[in-house]
Amino acid sequence: MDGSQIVRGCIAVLVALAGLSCHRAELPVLSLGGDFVLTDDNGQRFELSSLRGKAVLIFFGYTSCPDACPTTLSKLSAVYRKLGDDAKRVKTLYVSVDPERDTPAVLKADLGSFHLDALGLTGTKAEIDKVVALYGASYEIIPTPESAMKYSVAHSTTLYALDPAGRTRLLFSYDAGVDEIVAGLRTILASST
Amino acid sequence: MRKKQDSRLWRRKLWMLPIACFLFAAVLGAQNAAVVAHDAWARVPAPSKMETAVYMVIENHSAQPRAVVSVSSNAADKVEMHQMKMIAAEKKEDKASSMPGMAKKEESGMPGMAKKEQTMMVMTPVAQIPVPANGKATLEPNGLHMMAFGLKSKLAEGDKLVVTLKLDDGTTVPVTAVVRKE
Repeated sequence: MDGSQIVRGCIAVLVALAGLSCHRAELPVLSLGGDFVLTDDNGQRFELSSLRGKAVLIFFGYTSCPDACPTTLSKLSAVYRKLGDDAKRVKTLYVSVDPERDTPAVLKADLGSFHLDALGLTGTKAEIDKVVALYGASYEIIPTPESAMKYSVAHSTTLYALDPAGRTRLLFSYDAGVDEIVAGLRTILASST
Repeated sequence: MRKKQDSRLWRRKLWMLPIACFLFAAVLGAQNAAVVAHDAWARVPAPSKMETAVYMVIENHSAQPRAVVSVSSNAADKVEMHQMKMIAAEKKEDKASSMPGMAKKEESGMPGMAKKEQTMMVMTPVAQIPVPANGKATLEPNGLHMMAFGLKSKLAEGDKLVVTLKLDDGTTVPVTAVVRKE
């Protein structure tokens, strides 16, 4: 083996090591988020801290939402399918910003039509507003007396991804695809092992 | 004498009045041959809901712009026209959402209160859906759509519902929507 071959071999090893370290690069811990307490879709008190050890996806919506929320739930169902064995390490929380209509029973029934490990959460307006503020989300009840729906609910559409320690690590926009979300979750899960 | 003749003339022509009314009414509700709707589908309603969204493509093959001004269905008490749009959280100018697929930059704020997101998605009623001359209107998820409220029965995948669009010229466009999951 001559000198040039040794140099090429060393470079190859360095590149491989660099690739490995990039793959395991730490995601920043975002300053938004945090623990909270709401009511789950069984009518029981729910604490976010009870999900330590799992990655958590959180998004805000309401069950009368015709597009954004069913679209997100369908997309997350596909995410769970792609995660395979990792799916059991991920929990999805669907926080309703329409507690007047979204009772625990309604949340449970409507989430049941999607194939993912999801829990519906509701509570008093004050409890929900606290969580909305923690995560920097937004929502607004807009009266629509001319419509059969009586009021519409405007809401932000960000999907929050938390690591198994409960820290917010990634934010996905509404347009994020299945592959982006799966890759983000795998990175979060890998960085926690 | 002349007045008597005019009176008899009017009485002879009076029989035409109900026929004219009938024809006028028939034209008002007549199907519009130049405007057609196709690829109509409705979401499977959520288990707790008796309402759902309906989507379709409406094509106008005439040189006159048209608009859908009301909608009805044999399967629902009321059908409304709606749109989904992004609005500013603080009711300033409309903004586009963040770049697709990319995580946003960190939002910092006071402890316990993160910086508020600036855009929200909302569904709002619209009075009509314009269909341009020799053009089309596409009703699809995250945009224009119809909402069927008060469904008369629980719809399942594969069911069909007949939707009738009423246009601004009084004519109608029937379309059959198929219920499906996505």
